[in-house]
Amino acid sequence: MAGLELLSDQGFRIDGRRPNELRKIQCRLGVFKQSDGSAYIEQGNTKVLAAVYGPHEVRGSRSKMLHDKVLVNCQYSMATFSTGERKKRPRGDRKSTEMTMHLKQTFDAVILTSLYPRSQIDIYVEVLQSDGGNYCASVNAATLALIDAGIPLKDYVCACSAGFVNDTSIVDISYLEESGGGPELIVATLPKSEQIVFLEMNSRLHEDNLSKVLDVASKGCKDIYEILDRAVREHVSKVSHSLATTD
Amino acid sequence: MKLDKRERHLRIKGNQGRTVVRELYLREDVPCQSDRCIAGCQNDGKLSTDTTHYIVPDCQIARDYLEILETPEVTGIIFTQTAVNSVQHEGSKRLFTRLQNLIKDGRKASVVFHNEFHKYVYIERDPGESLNHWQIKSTYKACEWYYNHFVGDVPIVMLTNDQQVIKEYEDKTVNIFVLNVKDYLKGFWHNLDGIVDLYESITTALDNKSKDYSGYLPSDILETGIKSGRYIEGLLEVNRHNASTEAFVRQSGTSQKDGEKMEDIFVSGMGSRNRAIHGDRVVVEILPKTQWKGRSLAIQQDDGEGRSICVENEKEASPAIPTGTIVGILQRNWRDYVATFSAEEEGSSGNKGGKVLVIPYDYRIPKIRINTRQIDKLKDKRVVVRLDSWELGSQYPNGHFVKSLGTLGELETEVSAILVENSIQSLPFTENQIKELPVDTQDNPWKMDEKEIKKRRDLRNSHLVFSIDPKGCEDVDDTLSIRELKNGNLELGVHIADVTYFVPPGSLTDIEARSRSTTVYLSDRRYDMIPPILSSNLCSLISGVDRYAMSAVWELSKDLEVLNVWYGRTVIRSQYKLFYEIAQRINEGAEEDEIVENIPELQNVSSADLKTKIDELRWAVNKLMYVARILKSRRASGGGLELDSIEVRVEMEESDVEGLTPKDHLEVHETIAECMIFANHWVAKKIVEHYPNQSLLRHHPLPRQDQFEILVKCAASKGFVIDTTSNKTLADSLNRCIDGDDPVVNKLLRQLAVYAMSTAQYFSTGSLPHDQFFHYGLALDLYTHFTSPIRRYADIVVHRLLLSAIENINCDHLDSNKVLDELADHINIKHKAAQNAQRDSQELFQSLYFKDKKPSDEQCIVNAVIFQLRINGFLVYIPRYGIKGPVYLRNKEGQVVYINKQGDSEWLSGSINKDDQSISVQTIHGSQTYKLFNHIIVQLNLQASRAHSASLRYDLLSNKPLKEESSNVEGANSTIKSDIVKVLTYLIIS
Repeated sequence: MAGLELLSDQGFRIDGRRPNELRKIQCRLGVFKQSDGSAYIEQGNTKVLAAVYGPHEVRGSRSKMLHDKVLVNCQYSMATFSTGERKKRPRGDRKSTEMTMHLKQTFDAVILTSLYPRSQIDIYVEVLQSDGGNYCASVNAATLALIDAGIPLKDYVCACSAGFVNDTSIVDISYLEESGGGPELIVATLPKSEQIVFLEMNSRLHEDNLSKVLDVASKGCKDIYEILDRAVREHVSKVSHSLATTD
Repeated sequence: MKLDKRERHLRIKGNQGRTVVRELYLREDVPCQSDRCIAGCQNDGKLSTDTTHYIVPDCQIARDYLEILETPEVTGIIFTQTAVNSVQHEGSKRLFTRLQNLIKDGRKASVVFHNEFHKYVYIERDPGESLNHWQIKSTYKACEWYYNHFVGDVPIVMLTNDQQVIKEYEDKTVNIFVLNVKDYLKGFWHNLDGIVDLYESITTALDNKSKDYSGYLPSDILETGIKSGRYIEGLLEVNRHNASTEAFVRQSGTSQKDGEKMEDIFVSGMGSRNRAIHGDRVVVEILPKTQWKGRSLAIQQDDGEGRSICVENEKEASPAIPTGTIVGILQRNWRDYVATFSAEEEGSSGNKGGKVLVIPYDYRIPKIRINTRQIDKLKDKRVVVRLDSWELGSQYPNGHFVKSLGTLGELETEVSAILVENSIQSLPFTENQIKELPVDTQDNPWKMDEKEIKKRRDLRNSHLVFSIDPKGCEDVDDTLSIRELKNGNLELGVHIADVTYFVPPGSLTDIEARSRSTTVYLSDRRYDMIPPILSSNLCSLISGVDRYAMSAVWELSKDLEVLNVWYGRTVIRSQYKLFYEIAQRINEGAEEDEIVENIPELQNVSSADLKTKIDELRWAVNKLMYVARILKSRRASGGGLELDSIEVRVEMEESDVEGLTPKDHLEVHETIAECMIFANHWVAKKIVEHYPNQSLLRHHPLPRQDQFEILVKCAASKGFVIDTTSNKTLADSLNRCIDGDDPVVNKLLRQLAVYAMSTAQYFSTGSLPHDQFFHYGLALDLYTHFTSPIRRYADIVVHRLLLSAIENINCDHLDSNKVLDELADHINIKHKAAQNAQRDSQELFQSLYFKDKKPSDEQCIVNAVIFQLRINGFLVYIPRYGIKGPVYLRNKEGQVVYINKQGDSEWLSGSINKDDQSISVQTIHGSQTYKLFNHIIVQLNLQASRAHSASLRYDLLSNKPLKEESSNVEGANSTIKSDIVKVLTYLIIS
């Protein structure tokens, strides 16, 4: 058997997308009633749930409390059934810990932290099904959940990945494309101000191509923003409508 | 645009039957890729519009009969994605690469249709449906879509060999024909010679095909083995002169990279070669040291039927070297082979049909077993054969017959055999390619475009432009100009034919030129890279007509330092088309009469103008030679290797192996070469500056030190020391190796130096570190090919690069590094093939030259110089013809040759002793010793061979040189040359 061809000469990717096309995104806000904010997102076959609690007073050891800003507490976990082979433990392994830290860094930068000194915000992210772009889907889901919880943000934060195959940048890469071993660039941006909140790259990429791949990834973030924004507006109008009728 | 998301459940092989879910996005805008489209697809129009119908092969046909689809005449094939996937998953990697190349080849006008991404063509595989059934259904659906897409305008032919399918779908839609391959070929291609035969032979080959790779280790074990260093991968190279026992595995990866030498691994005998064939990428396991063997040091004699004779007591061998046995094959590298039926086969006329052994033309390939029913028809023909498989336990590989080249021994047959053996395409240019190009006939002469002229710098009246080429040259691609500027500086201009103006990237001519990569010059003919309308007319910078050119113009100070350089498109009119000899004569101060007689452009000039014109020309030629002389000495002194003998220069630069007659060497040859090197160097500078990662350059790596061994040994025997540490020291020590009595010594040493060199190669700058860009032979840090776009594709690429560099366009529209890297490899291979073909054709003509000569003829008894000693003989160089060959001191019966007192040679029993410097023959009559650089006389005997090319045998005649010849080598050359010319013209006419 000859190796897989990630990008055909006619410009189709393995799943039928063109290089600049995102996977199908579906999302919902307010999926849980118990938490302050929650959201569910599907990016292709990657499915993520996020729940936000807070701001509330700092729980656990009070020494973690910050005097000038809010403490952002994240937890990233992957369901044991989320991958092809059953996972042994949902969190606490190196990969999850790293992902937790990345999420914390990202949201520390976007939440207006100085508004809530001495308090805490919890963000719980659960990957239900994993098919590439776990970080991106987690960030996008958490953004929606934070918005649902009404926590003030500088802007939406949208994350998107990009790869580089046959001298072409491909956006929003799936698990199959990730595992090909090519370069992978993950970026989280504030779409309005075009600021980069988080940037990570795996494998090697020639520096001349970096800007190309980065452009494609940022474009992906903007596209995702459009979709998230639409979902938020829809959700808000629905909620306000239902509020109006109950009054 | 809306995509439709589906999910596809796949069962992955070797994954314990688990299924994975993959996404699938369906869309409506999968392009049909044809210009016939009226639905407004986003098309590149690649699919042929000339064909009367489109072919859609099903999966099985795409896998098994790809060869039929590869036939150049068959165009307009639509491969469904289903078929491509099936080839990819079920076929070999090689098959898939072939399929990809077919699709990429613009001349085939064939495409992949992504039916599985199309909303209305994709069919979901029902649970429990067989793969085959689903594939057929999908393929037919694609046919239907295409048919409806062109509103029934174009008939679609679906090829399948499944009778049931044909029955099922045959009458479903009018004008969608479901045919099997045989009926299709008979119906549509009955006038195409041999295609049905090809079909038949593939079918029979398929029938007795079995899994080939049994007996080799599984690929995952090989892979881990290679990674852990247990096994080594490399290319198998069989020793041409000892094909049945000696082969080497050349390790991949260049030796320079990690500094350590990558040794070749010896594979001894057919057993450990384990069914690998020359050129295959193999995996080898090194044997324990106790089983290592040495290679044979004897020169092998051949009995003309491919069996080499090895006399028992000659089993002397070199010290043991790493020896291995082949455990697996990563990639077969089979090509088309020319083969001939053996003489015995011819005799047994009872053998009709069934299996026959054929002997390949190439010594390195084992005999091939083919199935044919046409033995009687083909017994005295040369045929093309392709390999299919080599089963475990079979002595010979299986193949099938492809086509016949013609009767044995005929010139045309032999030339086409050379072309096939070197994988050179020799088809004429197609009508479509010619149609793209401008016409220039008597009634409809080609004219320059006024608008285009305005865009260019016009040099027609300001510069004296002329060309210097060999006599009778048709494709003039370089011209020169030189003049003095008002401020006293010199202005040197090199003007090159502007081929890229006529050949836009991606055009049919461009695709064809790219695949040919170079014009192939054989002894009596040439195969052009671009159609003759361009190569010998519109692009050729003939004198007296206006032509487009690409120019590089330097302003040189009085000390010949470059002050500034201008590159760009120009319009020129060459004033004189000189040939080398007359240019040299002008420089030497020829009289007016002689000049006028030899330059047609001056013949109708009034006598008043004549003087000034000649003076102008003389000044220009003299100045040019002066400038070139300085440039050359500067390059040489800058640490440069000056391999200044003509053979060496030609070998390095034009990749031309010196012919039967060593060429005359004039200074003006060097002048032109130097100007071209200068232009190439400056163009390389420019393009690298603009496109540091995607320029096409030519580099010449350092030679491997161990290759110098023979040279050093040879020189030492004469008391010379060769210092090979750098190109400069090598050149200096070569210059010192001059034997006052024997001019051949220096010449020979220089040739040996050339053999030690690695070959110069094209490469893309993005794929090599910067410190490997240099050109060792020319001693330049950057070098490329710019000056011959008519006959080399690399120059066309460089022209395009230079044009974008001038206009300062960013690199996005250019070929990326990856594409360029592949292209560079392709051009390198083609160049090598062209060189080999040229050498083969020279050998062919050499043998034709000696064919009618009796061994006693004066032409066959020649002087020779010993340059290398072997255990049973030595290798000699024959200055008169510029050829090299082996002389055996021991014959098949084990007797040795002895020169008796009368000066005749006779075969006696005796022994041979060899040491570092000499080889001696001992018989009862006494002993005779031969040393390196001894002059001897040999007799040339042509040995005809049925299956292979004819070769020369060299018989020792005397151990003393011919007297009269050594004094008059030059004179002999000229007579021989005319003889050869006579032979050639005779052959061409007949």
